[in-house]
Amino acid sequence: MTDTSLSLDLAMEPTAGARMRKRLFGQKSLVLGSGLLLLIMLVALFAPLLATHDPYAQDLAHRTVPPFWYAKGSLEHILGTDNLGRDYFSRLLYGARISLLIGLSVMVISGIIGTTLGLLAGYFGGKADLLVTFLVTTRLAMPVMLVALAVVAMVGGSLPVIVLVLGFLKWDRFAVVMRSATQQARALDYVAAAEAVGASTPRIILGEILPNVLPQLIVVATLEAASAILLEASLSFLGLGVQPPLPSWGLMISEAKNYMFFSFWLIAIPGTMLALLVLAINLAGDGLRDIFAPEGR
Amino acid sequence: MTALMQAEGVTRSFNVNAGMFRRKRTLHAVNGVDLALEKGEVLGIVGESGCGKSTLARILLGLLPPSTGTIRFGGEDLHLLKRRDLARQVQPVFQDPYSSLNPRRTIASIVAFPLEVHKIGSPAGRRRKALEIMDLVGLPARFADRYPGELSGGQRQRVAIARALVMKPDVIVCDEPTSALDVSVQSQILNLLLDLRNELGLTYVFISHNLGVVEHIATRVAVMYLGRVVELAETQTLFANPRHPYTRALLDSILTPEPGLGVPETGLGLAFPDPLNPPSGCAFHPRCPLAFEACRSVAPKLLDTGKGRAACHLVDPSF
Amino acid sequence: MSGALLQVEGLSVDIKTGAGTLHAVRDISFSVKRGETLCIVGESGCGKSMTSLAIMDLLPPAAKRSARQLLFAGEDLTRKTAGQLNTLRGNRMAMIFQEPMTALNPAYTIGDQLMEGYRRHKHASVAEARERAVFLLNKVGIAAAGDRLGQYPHQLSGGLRQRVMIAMALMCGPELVIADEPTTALDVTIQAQILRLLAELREELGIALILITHDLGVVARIADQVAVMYAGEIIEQGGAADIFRDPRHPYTRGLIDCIPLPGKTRPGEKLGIIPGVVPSLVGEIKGCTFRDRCSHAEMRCSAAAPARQVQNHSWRCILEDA
Repeated sequence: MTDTSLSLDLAMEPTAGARMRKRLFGQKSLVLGSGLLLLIMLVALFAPLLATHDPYAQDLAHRTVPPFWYAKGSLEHILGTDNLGRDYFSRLLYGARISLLIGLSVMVISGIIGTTLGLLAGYFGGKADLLVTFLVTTRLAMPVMLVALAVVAMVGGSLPVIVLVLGFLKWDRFAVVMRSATQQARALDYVAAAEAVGASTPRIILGEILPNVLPQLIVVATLEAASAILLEASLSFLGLGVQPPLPSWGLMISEAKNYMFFSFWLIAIPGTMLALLVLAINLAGDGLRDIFAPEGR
Repeated sequence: MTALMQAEGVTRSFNVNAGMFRRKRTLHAVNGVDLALEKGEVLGIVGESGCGKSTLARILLGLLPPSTGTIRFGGEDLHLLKRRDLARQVQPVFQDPYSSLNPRRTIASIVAFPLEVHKIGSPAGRRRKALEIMDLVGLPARFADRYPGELSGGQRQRVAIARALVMKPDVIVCDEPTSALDVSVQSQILNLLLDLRNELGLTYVFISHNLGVVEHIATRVAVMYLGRVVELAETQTLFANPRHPYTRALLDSILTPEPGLGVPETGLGLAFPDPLNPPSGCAFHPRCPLAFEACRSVAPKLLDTGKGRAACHLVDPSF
Repeated sequence: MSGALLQVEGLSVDIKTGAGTLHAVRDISFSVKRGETLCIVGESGCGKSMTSLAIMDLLPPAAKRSARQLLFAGEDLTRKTAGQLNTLRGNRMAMIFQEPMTALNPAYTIGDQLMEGYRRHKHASVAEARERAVFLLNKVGIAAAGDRLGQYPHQLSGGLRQRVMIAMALMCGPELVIADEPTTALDVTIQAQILRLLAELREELGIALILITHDLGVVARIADQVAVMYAGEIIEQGGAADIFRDPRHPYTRGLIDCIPLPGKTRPGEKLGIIPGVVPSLVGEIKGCTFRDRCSHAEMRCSAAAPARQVQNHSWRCILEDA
């Protein structure tokens, strides 16, 4: 191109879509995390198709068969069997369903409670703020693990109970983060402009403020989902969470603990999966936060 | 001439926490303001930071209720007007175009937002209307689907003006609309505001600390000091013959780009008074080079001087 | 040139960004004498603040400075070690920032902050430093200076804080003071007072003052020499009277036309504008950077603008005169 044009800056700007793609895939942690997460989700979704055995079927003749890469292992049971002879691979697949279900539903319940409280406190301030702050401090005074243990001990452990207990206990961080994010957004002039236009309060909160505090919300949501999965595993490990014979990863670790010196894989495999899942969620959350960060806009 | 908007004895106070164990104190941000906004005029409001001009703007926009006093709009009390009805008549343009636009909406959706709130037209019709207004303020249609972050400061301020215009209001309250912009952009926005006023017959309240800009755009100027209007006059009268010593000091401190004149001496001294603890009598007396005994004890009233109004004992024949 | 306290030749600042190298400052040259005020004026993003940081060697890590010559009182600043620069900064050359609230540390009293540099650079006792601090606070017009020393920055008003900043810059008796938008955050009445103060102090103490601002009003009233920056270059340079009475570069003319002049511009009259936006400074830059926005632009503007000079007044444009 001969440089005869008067224009200095004609180089076409990349389109919005191209830039978004570049940002998305330029994020190694996001690609890695969401890839892994997607894989685990697909596995959980198609567990009935992928499973080689019934995860509940016991076969006492083939107890603690090692995975196929051991000399004694076979491809019949890819990851071996547990102490009751159940196929470990199939149990692992079904276990992913439990972990994801718990992570997601606890995140949704606590997210709705915490975000609502945080938005209200941050937007209205004053007495609403005092009330929410009081609720948060009260909630923080209760240790999650102890309260969960106590409730489960009283009403008995089952999947819905665990989800509800954790959901009603873990909204504090949502409330705190949303409150301060909302306070900041509330002070900006575009909120005043929306008020001056005559927009209703719910419309301002949901249409103007919520989209702008979404990045913070996503980060908290991922952290909380990961922490809920770990809490469920801990509760199940203590025998007060999901009850046997449901294949929860925490329960699998718990059941394997007596065999850990003889059949190491029994504890290593669900442990690794748990760590991978939590890592994937956290990586994805981190990546999303970087993408939504306002300086990128 | 008919008064479009009228403020009568408007005050606004805030409670300020001075410390955990100290008494709450009251800050009178706006302290008894009477103003009438005539149709078609540009009322400039000037003063230093903390003089209450931005609080007054928020009261006029209906964003803050006054503590006492009333605002009337076309004879109706602002209190009794619904916010949505008021929105059709008064719209804001704020100082900082970086915080006045929702970063998560596209330009077209920001401009069409007021129509959406008032449920005017179909989505396609609203978009058409938004593009029309964007064209009016000099924004090309290709910006419609961009986000505010992709625009320069001047372009963003045009978006804010477009949003204010889309409801066809009578009054636009501009709170320091050009002070966050570069001078070359500032002149573009000022030209645009003047053009729009001529084309659409708008009335502006123009708040600024830049007196050069106010002289250029305003037809009438109110000077505020510590929550009160201390002088009010037609622009030319005020700039040619300021009656209040504070106005004079403000005018003296304008730095026009003329070399060789040096930096003026305003004779104001340093101390801007603590707004939580305003001086007795005339609030300006500690800084006033012409203060005399009565100024320390008696607060002056805003008196008619024949060519405007001023709150100073020097224009009061009874002193 | 003899008598120049600071002589800058061919200063450039490049900043590495994700999109490429941003040429924030490109090959600029200027000098300041003792007792003289140089105003560097330009709009946001023109590189004026980067220039001041480059002289003080306070650039952010991503920015790289290069210069053919950077002479301060005959010494080459580019050959100084970090330690040697530290003994210069705050001592023989000082800086005043735009926002005094963020430039002062809220955790220390202003007395501590005033005295710290003086004690370090001059190896002075507390009593000596205190005496100097009181002297300077009085000098910048702060009453009851002794009591003020025990106060924290948040207890002072904006105007007072900026005065404290000025006193702090003057503590060690600097020869060069760089003030970056020192009055932009202040009210007009306070601005006039601070500028008067700077002008007086410069005269009295024989300081070379570099004042960086976007406000042509400030420039006209206080500058001896003016350098107009656009897109990282000095596009016009000369005495203040020459620049304002006889501006040669279309950008300088455009800037002056943008400002409403009481008494000269009729109220409501159209103001001058500069159409378009500042070009991107990322990547290779060819020709005159102002040609996109210039009403005089011709084909030959895509080549580098020729340097013109009449006596002390220089500019870069194809226009000899107009």
